[in-house]
Amino acid sequence: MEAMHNIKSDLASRLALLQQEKKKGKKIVGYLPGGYFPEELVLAAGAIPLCMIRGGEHAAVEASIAYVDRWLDTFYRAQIGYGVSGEDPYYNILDALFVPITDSNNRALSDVLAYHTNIDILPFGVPHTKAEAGCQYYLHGLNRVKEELEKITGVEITEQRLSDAIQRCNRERELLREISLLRKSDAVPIRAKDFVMVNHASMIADKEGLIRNLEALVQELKEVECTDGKGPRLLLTGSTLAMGDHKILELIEGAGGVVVIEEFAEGIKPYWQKVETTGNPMKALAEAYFMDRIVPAWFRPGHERLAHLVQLAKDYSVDGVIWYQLLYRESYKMQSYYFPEILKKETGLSMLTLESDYDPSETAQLGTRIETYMESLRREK
Amino acid sequence: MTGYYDELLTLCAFDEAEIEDQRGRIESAFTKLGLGPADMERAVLRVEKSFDMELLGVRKALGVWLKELFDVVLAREEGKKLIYFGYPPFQYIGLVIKAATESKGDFYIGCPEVVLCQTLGQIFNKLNPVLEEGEAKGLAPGHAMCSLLQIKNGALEKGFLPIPDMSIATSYFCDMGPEADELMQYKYGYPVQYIDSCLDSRWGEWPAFDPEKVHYLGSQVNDLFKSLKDLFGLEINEELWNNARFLAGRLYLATNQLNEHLIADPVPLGVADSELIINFPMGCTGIAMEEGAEAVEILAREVGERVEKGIGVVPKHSPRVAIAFQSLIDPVFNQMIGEVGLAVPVVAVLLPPPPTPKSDSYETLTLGEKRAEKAMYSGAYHSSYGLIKRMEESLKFAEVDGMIYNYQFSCRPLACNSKLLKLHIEKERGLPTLLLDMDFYDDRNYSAAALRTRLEAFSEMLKARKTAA
Repeated sequence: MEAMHNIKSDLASRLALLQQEKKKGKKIVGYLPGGYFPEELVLAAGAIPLCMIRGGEHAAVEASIAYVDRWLDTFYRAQIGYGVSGEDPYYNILDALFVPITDSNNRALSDVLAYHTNIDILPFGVPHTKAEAGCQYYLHGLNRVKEELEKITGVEITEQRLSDAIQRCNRERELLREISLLRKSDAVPIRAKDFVMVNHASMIADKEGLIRNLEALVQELKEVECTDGKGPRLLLTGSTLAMGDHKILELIEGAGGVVVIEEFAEGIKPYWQKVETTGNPMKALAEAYFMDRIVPAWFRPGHERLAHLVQLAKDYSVDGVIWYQLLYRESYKMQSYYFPEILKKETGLSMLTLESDYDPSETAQLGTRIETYMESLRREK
Repeated sequence: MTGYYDELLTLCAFDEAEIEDQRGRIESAFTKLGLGPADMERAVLRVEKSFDMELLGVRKALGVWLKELFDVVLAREEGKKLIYFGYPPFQYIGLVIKAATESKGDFYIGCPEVVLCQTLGQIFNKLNPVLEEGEAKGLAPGHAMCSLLQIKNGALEKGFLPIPDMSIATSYFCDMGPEADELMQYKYGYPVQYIDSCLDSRWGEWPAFDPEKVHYLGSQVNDLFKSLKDLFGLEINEELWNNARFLAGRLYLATNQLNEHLIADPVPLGVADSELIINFPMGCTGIAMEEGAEAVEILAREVGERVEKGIGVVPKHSPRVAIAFQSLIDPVFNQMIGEVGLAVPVVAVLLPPPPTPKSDSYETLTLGEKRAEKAMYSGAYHSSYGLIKRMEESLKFAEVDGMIYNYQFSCRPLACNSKLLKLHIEKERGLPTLLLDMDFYDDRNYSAAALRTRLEAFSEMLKARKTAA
């Protein structure tokens, strides 16, 4: 597929292009994943948003140990490893890094990078309860982000500029949603690895170019003759699916499983919601990113997410669920204890829970468990 | 009539009449907890070995914890409504609710897992089955889950604790507390009231804070007040909040007197003994407010007499260290610090909070917002930087030669900034700082011998520095 090839190619050359843009005076604004940082604000300020979404490398995790205790989520330890190294081209290129503070893991990242690096670290809060007061505080945080971006870029974020950016990002979400919905069919037209890659690209690549490629990809996927998708259909969920954390998808695919839908707090950009284009755009962003967003496990209460998973399992006609979490993300570990009972009751499906610390030595064990699960699903079918 | 528990209770300063009067309750509680004659014999040996039983204040403090244990274990069958709050509590929220129930008298309000630590842990050394149950039923081992929450989970599973009518979880300092409460809500169906906020300050901002944070946190506290009214008819107002301070006033006063004595050289009281009083205001709202205060008053007087006589638990001129926390369950660790020759004149969490200024808009704030503003100055509820600065400020309370930041390894807010704390204290105060990752609630998670080796090395280093100076 040509569109897919173009997206891959754009991703491969992205860093070099960013370096060129930086030389031309463009500001590059980093942010941490989780779906709580509206890229629209960066685009409206005329800067380039760049999500710190890479992971999967054990060396980066190991590098963090001198700076933070190991009892921190693997993905955030990896970010600390990248950030403090002083050699990471993605962290080095940043003019500022926005950190939506959602739990102790990214709070630790914010503190450690603020202390040990010269990166301008700008935390802002994400409340943990979905209520009007929480939304107001989140909106207050977005206003702080907006002010900081205006200071960094010297560009006023007008309502018009913001509305334009919202429309672009809505289009991107719409296209991701469209591709995702195509995976409901019996003959799945896109491999999970490719869909995840495309989703990751939405956090890294040039927005205009990606939208063009996604539009082409949708057309190609509608026309493609699909031969895959005969194995057990799976919902893959968990805390973080970072760019570069290929192991889980490769193992599932290798065992004959077909992931047809993913739900992750970090690493899969939420694409279900749409930002309203009428009214106050800042309020619209807060509504869409905070109130409409399906909550991650660290919300209180967090059962909205569990109900969403049940619904996804039904909508995408899956045969099983794989819960893939990173080590020491306690909110996910806790939910993984009682969600199987809910899942079984609501859908009759079983769930396999897997954990990773980005350690290559895990691979064989993970593979065995996945193969066993696939075999049991095949027998059930 | 005598019971298999009389010796232990007498040792813990129960008087004869009290035991007779309470015999039915005592036996009922011990039966529920599965504590029999052999446990009592072991407990007698353990407390005699672990605590300074010459001090009446220490014996009384142990007795107060046992009474708190009986109260919580029997609360449901005695017809009380139960409200549990998380640890550490937001401000002194439990006391405020207690003040609101004053005329009703049919509530148990407290942090029961702390009561279990102080009794099943410190006195009986019988927490492991509770921890194992908590691990098996949702808070898995090997994942750095908070062992205090495993205790709560396990104790509810085993029926040691009654299912509460409400649980209050502060949901931003600690992530795991509210998440565990949600798990337990799933299992037992009790309502959970979350007090939410965001620790989103930039590094170096404390004590400055964003007024919007006060507004949001304040609204959460006001929501709690509303729930208390809706569910229990309890009315919280400003006058009541002030009354709540008086409930604990005697206790805090006595604790401050004790703190003043602890800075003497030689230090007159060991860490294992001072630990017994720290959680009266943090975990209890009942009998500990009166009898606990009396115990601390007696202890302060006894310790004051030691100071006058120059009696210490370690030799005069020993290296002096501030410690951050104490173990809630393991007197072996708490004693160990003195055993390696370190004097502890300052326990950071035992110190009173510093006086807090009021913002210009303070008088216009709602009650919840006023409490939220106060909480900003506590440090820990502000940011990691705020917590570190408060730890640093505790070092001003007494002359010390070093600091031991002993911390709960599975408590993300305490663990994730530990290395920053060491760097900060060593840079700003020039004091050697030992990081000691441990578990305050589960001694299976560390090797006491390994901790001792590290403490010995730190002690030797401080002695060498003192000699060189």
